[in-house]
Amino acid sequence: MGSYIIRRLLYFIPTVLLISVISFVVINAPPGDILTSQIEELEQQYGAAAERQVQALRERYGLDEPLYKRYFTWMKGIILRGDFGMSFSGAYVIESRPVKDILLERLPYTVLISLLTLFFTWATAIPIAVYSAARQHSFFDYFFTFIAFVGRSTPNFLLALVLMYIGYVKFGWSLGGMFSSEFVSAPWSWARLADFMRHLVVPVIVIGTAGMASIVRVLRATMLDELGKDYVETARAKGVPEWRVIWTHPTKVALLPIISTIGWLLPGIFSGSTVTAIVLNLPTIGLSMYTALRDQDMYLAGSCILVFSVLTVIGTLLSDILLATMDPRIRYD
Amino acid sequence: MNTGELIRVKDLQVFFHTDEGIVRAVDNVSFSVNRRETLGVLGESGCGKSVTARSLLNLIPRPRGRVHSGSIMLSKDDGTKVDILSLDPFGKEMGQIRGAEIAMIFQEPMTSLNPVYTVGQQIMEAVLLHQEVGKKVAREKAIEIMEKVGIASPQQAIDKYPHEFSGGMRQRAMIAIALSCNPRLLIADEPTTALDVTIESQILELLHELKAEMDMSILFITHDLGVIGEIADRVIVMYTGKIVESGSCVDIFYRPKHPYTKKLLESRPRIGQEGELSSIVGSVPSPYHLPPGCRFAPRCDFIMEKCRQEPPIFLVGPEHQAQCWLYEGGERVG
Amino acid sequence: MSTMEQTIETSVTYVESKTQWQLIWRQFTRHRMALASLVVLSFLYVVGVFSPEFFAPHSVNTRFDSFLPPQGIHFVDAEGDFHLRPFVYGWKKELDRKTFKTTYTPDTSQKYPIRFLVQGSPYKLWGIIPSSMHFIGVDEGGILCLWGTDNLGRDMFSRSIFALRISLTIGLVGVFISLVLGLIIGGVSGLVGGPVDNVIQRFIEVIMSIPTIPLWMALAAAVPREWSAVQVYFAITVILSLVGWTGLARVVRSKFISLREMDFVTAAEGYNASQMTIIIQHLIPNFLSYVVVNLTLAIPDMILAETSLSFLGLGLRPPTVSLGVLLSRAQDLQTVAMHPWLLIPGALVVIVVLAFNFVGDGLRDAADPYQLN
Repeated sequence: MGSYIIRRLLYFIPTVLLISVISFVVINAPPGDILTSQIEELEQQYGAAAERQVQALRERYGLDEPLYKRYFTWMKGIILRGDFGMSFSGAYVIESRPVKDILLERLPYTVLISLLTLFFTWATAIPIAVYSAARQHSFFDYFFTFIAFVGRSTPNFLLALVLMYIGYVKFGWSLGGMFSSEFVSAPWSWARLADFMRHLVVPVIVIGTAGMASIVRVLRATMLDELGKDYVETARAKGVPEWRVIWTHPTKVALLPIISTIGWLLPGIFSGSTVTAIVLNLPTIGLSMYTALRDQDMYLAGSCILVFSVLTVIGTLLSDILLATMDPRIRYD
Repeated sequence: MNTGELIRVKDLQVFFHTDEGIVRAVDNVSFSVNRRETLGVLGESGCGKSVTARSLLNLIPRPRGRVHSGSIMLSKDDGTKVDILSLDPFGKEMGQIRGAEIAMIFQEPMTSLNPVYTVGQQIMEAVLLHQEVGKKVAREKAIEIMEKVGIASPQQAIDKYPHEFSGGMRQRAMIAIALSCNPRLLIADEPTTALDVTIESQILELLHELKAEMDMSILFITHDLGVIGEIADRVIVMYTGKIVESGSCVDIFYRPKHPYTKKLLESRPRIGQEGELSSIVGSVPSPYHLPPGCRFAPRCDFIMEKCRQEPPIFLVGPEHQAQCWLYEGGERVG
Repeated sequence: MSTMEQTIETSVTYVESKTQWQLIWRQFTRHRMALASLVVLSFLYVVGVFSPEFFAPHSVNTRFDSFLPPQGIHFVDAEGDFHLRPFVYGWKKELDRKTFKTTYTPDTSQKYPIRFLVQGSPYKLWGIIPSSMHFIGVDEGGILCLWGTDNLGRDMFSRSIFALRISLTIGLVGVFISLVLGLIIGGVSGLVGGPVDNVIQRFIEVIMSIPTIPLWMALAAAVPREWSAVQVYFAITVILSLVGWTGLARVVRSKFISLREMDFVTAAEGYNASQMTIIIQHLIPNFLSYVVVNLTLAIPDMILAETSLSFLGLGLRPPTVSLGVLLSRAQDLQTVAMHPWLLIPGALVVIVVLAFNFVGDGLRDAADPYQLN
C-alpha cells in the first residue's frame, strides 16, 4: 500500500502545476488589469511627471514581459518565498497588500466553513440514506427523496436569500456576515460565540444541501443493492437484531466506495461557499476572489483559484488514502 | 440422548404477492424433523424448499411474502415448545432462536459472508449475541469452532477476510458461524452445490461427524440425488410447493412410489447405461399457471381422470407417504 | 388427453417482444413524477420558448409603477357577488408623509376582469409575423401585473416568461457543446487507450478539481464589456460547456473501452459479420441511452450555473432577460425583505431544474436494463 500512496503523491505535483498554469492563464485572459488601468490613470493625470514611477511599477511587476515569463516569476515567488504577488486597491495612491496576507486572513474561516459543511453533509446524509433504503417506499423515503431533489434543484444563492428572509422576517435575525453588528469588534464571550454559531447555520445549511442530496441518492442506491445481498440474510439467520443487521453489515459495505468521494465534495463546497459568501458577505476566500475579479486584481484572483484547487487535490488524495486503509478488498492497486 | 421430535411443521402455507398474481410457494406442507436425524429435502429449483427453510427461521421477506397459515412447533432446549410463526420476526425471542437453537448455512459462501469483516469477527458476532461471555472468551470459542470444522491454523485464519479463503474453506467458515452456538437444528440450503466434487464430499463428511459430536439435526436441502443418498436418514420430495413423497432414504431410493420420484431416480445417468438419458416430459409449470388438481399430472406417465382433483396423502409403507391417486387403496394421512 | 393438453397450454405464455425504446418508454411512464415533470417542462417550453410574446400580457419593457405587489386573482368581489370570469383589483397608492414609503392597497372600486386572447401591444411573432394578440390581458386602462413589478415598474410576470426563453435554451446549447466535446475527447481516450488515455484522464481530473463557480467567474470576467448581448450569450454557453463536458467524456470513454474489448474478443473467437452487427445493434441503443440520460441531467446543471452567474452580474447582462438576471435585482436583504415577490423567478428556476432532474432520473431508471421491478 505504501507504493500506492507514493504513486498518488507523485501525481500530486504535476496536477498542482497544471492547475497553476490553468489558473494563471484564465486569470490573465481579461484584457487589462488593475495595475495597468491605474498606470493609465496616473499617466493621464500627471503626464510625464509620473514617468519614473510608472516605469518602476512596470519593472517591479514585470508588466512588459510575456505571459509565460510572468507565470514563472509568480510560481517562483510562491515556491521559494511563499509570495503570491500583490493585491492592489486604492484610487489615486496605489496601495498594495501581499496576497499572502489576505489569503492567510481568509483561510481559517474558509476551512472552518468547509469542514463544518462536510461534516453536516455526511451527518445528515448517512442516516437519511440508510433509513430510506431500509424503509423503501415508505412515506419517509418518498419525502426525503423529494427534499433531496429540491435541494439539488435550488441555486445556492436563492436558498441563502430565502433563509435570510425567513430569519429576518420571522425571527428578526440579521444573518449577514460573520457576526451581528454588536459583536463584530467585541471580545470573545459566550454571547459572541452563540452569535457566531447562529451566523454559521445558514451558510452551512445552504452549502451543504446540494452535496447532501447527491450523497443520499448514491448511498441509498448502494444500500438498496447491498440490502438484497446474501450476507445480510446470513446476519439475520444468526439472530442479529434487525437494526444492527442494517447498520453494521450493509452500511459499512455501502459506505466504503463513498469514502473516496469525500475529497470530491470539496469543489462543490468551494463553489457553493463562494456564491453564499457573496450573498451573505462572509469573509472567505470565495468572496475575495469575487471582488478581485470585479476589480481586476489579478494576482489575488489567481491565487484564490490556486488555493481552492490545491485544497481539493489534497482533499481527494486524503480520501483516497483513507479508502485504501479502510477497505480490506483494496490492498494493492 | 433422547430421540423425539425437534421440529413439527403443520399445514404450512407461504404465499408471495406479486404484480402478476399470488405465488403459492409453499402450499400445505407438513413434516417433522427428529433429533439427531438428517432430513433431506429434495426437489428442483422453484419447488419451495428454500422458502420452507426460511420459514423455519421466520425469515420470509415481507410484505411480499406472507405466511398464510400453518404452524412450526419447536421443542426448545429448556423443554418448552413454541410456534415459531407466532413469534414476532423482529422480536427478541425469535432473535434468540436464530443462531442459537436453529442455524442456517447457505449455498454461496462468497456472497454469504460479509466481505469487509474478518471471519473471526463474523463468528464472534454470533457468539457474543447468544452467549454471555466477553470478547476474549468469544475469540477463544471462535478459534475452537474453527478448528472443529477443519480450518487450518485457526489462530491466523481468524483475522483473515473471506476473500482470502478458498471456496471450501469459506464454506467451513460458514459452518463455523452456524455451529458456534451449538444449535439443535442446522438448516443447510444447498451448501455444496457451488463446490466442486472433492470439496463437496469433505464438507458432507464434516457435517456427518459434527452431527454426532454436537447432538444436532440437519435439514439438508438439495436437488442432487447423490448427496441425498449419502447423507439423509429421511427424505421429503417437493414439487411446486407440495410434498409429493416422504419416507426413509431407503424407501425413496429403493421403493419410490410417486411418479415424480420415480422419474427423478430414472433420470440419473448410470455407469454402463446405454441409450438415451431419460428425462421428464414437459417442464415445471409456472407458479402463476398451476394446473388444477394434481400438479404433476401433465407430465405424468400414469395420468388418470381422477388426477383432475388434487389427491390426498396416502400411506404407502411404514413411515412412507405419497400424494398420488395411484395409492388410493391405502390409508389417508392428513 | 384433454386435461393434459389443457394444462400444458395454460402453462405456456407468450411474451411480446418490444424494441428497446418502447420498453424504456413503458418503464418511464410508470414513474409518475417523471411523467408529470415532462408535462410541466413541455408546457414551459411552449410558453417560454415558442412564443413568449403571445403568452406574456406585456412586453419586457412596459412600465407601470415601481414595486407594485402581486395582484390576487378573485372570483368574489367586495359585495360578495360571484363572477365566473376571474378579475383583479387596481391599486390605491398612498404616500406616508413621515416615512416617505409608498404603500399600495387593493382598490376594490377598480375591477378588471381577466380576458383571454386580447389585443395588446403589438409585436412580431418569431420576428416575422406581426400580431398584437396576447393570451391574457385586461381592458384598456386596467392593470395586470400578476407577480408585481420591479424597481423600474416592469411587469414581473411578463419578464419572467421572456426570461424563460433564455434560461431554457441556454442549457440546451451549452449541453450540445459539452456533448460534442465529451464525445470527441472521451471517444479518443477510450478507443486509443494507453498513455494517451492516461494523460487525458489526468487532465480531466485536474479540471474537475477546480471548483466550477470560481472558474466560471474567472472565465466570465474575461468576456469584454463591449460585446453585444448575443455575443455574450454564446460566450457564456461556451464557458459553461467547457467545464461540463468532463462527466460525459468519462461515460463515453468507458463505453468505448468495452467496445475495444469486444474487438479483441471477436478477433479471438472469430465471430462472423452478422454476429458483430447484432452486437453493435445492442451496443448503440445502450450507449445512446446512457448519453441521453447524462444529457438530461446536465441541462439542469447548466441552467443553475447560468442563473448563478447572471445573478452575480458575471453572466448575461441587462437588457438580456434571463431568470438569473431577474434575480440579480434581489441581491440584498433589504430589497428582498420589502419586496419578496422579486424572488418569484427563483421559484421558476427551482421548478424547471426539479422537473429536469425528475425526468432525467426517470429516464435513468427506465433505461437501466438491470432494473427489475
